[in-house]
Amino acid sequence: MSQEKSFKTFRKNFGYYDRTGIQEYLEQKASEGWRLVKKQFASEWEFKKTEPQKLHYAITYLPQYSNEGSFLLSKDKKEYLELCAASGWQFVCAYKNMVIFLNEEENPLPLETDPEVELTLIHKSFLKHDLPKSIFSFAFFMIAFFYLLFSDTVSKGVDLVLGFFAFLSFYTAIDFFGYLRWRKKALAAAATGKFSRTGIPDKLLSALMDVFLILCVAIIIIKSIIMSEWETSIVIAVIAVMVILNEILDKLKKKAENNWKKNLFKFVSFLIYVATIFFANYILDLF
Amino acid sequence: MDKVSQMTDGRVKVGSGTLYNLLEQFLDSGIIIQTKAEGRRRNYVLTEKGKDVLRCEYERLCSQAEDYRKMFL
Repeated sequence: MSQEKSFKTFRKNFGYYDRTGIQEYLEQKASEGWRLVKKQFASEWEFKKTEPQKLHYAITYLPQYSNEGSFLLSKDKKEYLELCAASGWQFVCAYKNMVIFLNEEENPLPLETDPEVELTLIHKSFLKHDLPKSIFSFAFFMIAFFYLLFSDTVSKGVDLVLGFFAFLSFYTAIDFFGYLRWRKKALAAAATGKFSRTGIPDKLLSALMDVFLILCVAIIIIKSIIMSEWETSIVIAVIAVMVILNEILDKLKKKAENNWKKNLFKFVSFLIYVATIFFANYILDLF
Repeated sequence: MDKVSQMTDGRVKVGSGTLYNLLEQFLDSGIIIQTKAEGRRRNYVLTEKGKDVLRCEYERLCSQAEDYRKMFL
């Protein structure tokens, strides 16, 4: 296999503290013949092609570190990794203060066996690294959203940008409240010695995100119609259609039985992106 | 990790990640101190404070067991 084909980057988004989701994803990938090499950005995972294997992954959080560099350069790192290696846990990579291990044994002793200790680590990490960012994002969301709602001006780009940032900030705020909801449940479980599954925001929170997205889009369209800025509404409508079509294609691609169908859907998805960009530009130039 | 399992007849198993973090917590709170390090091997010993904490915990568990005996046996 060529060098290029033996490594591949997959995109998959998880809540930062969704250790259950990440673990299950990595183990699924290992069973498909992809072994994690490193995590790059928030949703990028680089894998190396191997034989399909049943591997166990563990994700832990070390609040004293802020990135992979600080972890790899620390004096305690060697001692920590040796202790983990003693029970078969091999270091894979670190991302911010998340550290990922794998174990090739059939029934390894879990890396973390005390839910209260784990919760303490996760919460310290959250307070140190994520809380300031979450507060800022939430404040920005409030400002962007209310400006979008109450400003009496519409420009070709400003409302779109505001809506986009408001949505991103709302997503961060949802992740933040999702974590707090999970922590409450996890604390109750830990008191009885049990671990609690992490997960993406539950259905209610996911529905809130969809509602908020639709609300932002509706506000922009209504404002642009009132102000006779038709090009903004048309562009928004086209983008909305593109997003819906790509979601449908994504579902079809996941259900596709062979590679040529998957590639076909990918190609069509790419064409839709390109067509949307050209059409949006054409509409903006027209007006 | 193996010793913990042996001491408790397999009832308590401590993962390496948990053990590392507990040792850090115990060191920070002064319950244990490191006596020597030989290569990969680290030795720790309970401090007087650690012995007090352990004794209090033992007494607490004994009290709870006694409460159970009084009520149900």
